[in-house]
Amino acid sequence: MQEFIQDLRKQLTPPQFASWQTLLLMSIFSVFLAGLVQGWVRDLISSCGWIWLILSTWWFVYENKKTMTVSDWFSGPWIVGGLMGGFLVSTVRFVPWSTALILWPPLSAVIAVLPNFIATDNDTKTPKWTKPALSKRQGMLLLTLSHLLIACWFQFYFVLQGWLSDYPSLRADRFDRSAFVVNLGQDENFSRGRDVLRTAEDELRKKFATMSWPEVERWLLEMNREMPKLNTEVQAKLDRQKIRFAENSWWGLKGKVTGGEYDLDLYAVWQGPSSKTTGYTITKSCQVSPNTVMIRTTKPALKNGKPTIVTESKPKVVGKIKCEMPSQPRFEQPDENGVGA
Amino acid sequence: MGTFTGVMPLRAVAFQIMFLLLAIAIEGVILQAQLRIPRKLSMQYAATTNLLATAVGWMVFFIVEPLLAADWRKELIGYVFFGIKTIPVPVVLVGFGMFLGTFLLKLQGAEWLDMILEKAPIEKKTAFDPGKFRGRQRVHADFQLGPSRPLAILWANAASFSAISLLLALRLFVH
Repeated sequence: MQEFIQDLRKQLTPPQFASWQTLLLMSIFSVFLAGLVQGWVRDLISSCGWIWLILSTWWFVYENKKTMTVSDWFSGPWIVGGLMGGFLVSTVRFVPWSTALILWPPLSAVIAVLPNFIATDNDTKTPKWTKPALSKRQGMLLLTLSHLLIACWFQFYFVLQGWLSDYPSLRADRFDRSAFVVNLGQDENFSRGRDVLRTAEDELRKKFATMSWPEVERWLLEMNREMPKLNTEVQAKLDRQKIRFAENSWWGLKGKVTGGEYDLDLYAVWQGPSSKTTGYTITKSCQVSPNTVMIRTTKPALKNGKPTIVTESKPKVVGKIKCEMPSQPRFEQPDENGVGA
Repeated sequence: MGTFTGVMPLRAVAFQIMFLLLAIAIEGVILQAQLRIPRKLSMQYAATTNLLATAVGWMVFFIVEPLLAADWRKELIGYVFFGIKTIPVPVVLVGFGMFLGTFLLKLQGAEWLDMILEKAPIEKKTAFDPGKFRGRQRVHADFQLGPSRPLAILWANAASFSAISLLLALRLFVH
């Protein structure tokens, strides 16, 4: 431990004023200083800290180019580029980290080819701009283009994430046949079919609670006509959710009475892109039964010659719906032979 | 936005690297044979123009994708996540457009490469000496035999596109 600290100290002691160690110490000093203040002063000082750190690292990687090179590939520019990205995300707050990640490869490429543009003026011993040597240009070009290509791959990742947040139910499916993506976290629970079914159940519960039992029975008999209406209502409700998913219109709602007195199956059918041409279906089995509730009515009446309000309770038979948990996604269309929509 | 999932374009990256290497190898050989230039030079041309075409292709995709109508995006998402089961007409049309686009881009890319590397164009016209009578036949022959770079690039592009299309078709049938 003692030895390690001694060694570290020796490493970090600037050999001369102009060295990477000086810049690193300035950076560490800035971090301490930034911890003491608030507001824009803090931002300013921490920005300085980042810049010292970037310059120090830049210096360090070029001083130790041999050890940083793994079989012809010099990792230095990537490290410096990554730090620049960190600086952009943490201090320049309007840069989201996706942008910083996409900028990382091109930044690294610029850092890697930059030395070729700089020459030392022989008279004044100062750096000056120069055209890169002819023999270097081909390599520089290939390096820049390949780094641009890597940035495109990063960008493509974010395009995919955009699609998946617009159409999250895609993630419930299998991507085995894709030539583009692999799914490292396939999970059938991502399907929003359950949301669709829950909304439909809520709508039906509200509807049946206000209908008399004969009306409910008629509704169930005329499901062919009633289901599209329910579908529209459910769609409208889904579109009013806090996040309005673009995939809502890719969900279809179907229903079928599967048994007397009344077993009702509700189906959420995925009509978007799928690994099977038919899409998949999530089923929810429900039971509709009569339910007697006391309906309270208030009406004005005359009592002892004075107008008052009397409350009357009378029993009314309405509909009640009880549903089980939704099924797992099944890659088949619901059976349409029964009373369906 | 804001969700980050485990859905990664790793297959796209693997296929792209494979197809790039294949295209560079094929085009390098064809350019070398057609233009009678050293192998290293032909490989440089092939590598640079193909990388350029790939990067520009991605940029075009990123610009066009947000402009797509909902139905087209639905199709595109289907292709990307679930592959294709048949060969739909739009895919063929896009492939043809890519062939023309990459050809023009590679043609221009070769010009730019010459400019950056400060190379004189390969088809340098030798000074014609009017004092010497060569006869009509000879002039005619010269005109035809000189290696034409656009034609060589067209051949190279056609060959690499055919090879890649063949592989993609094979994948479709095997899968």
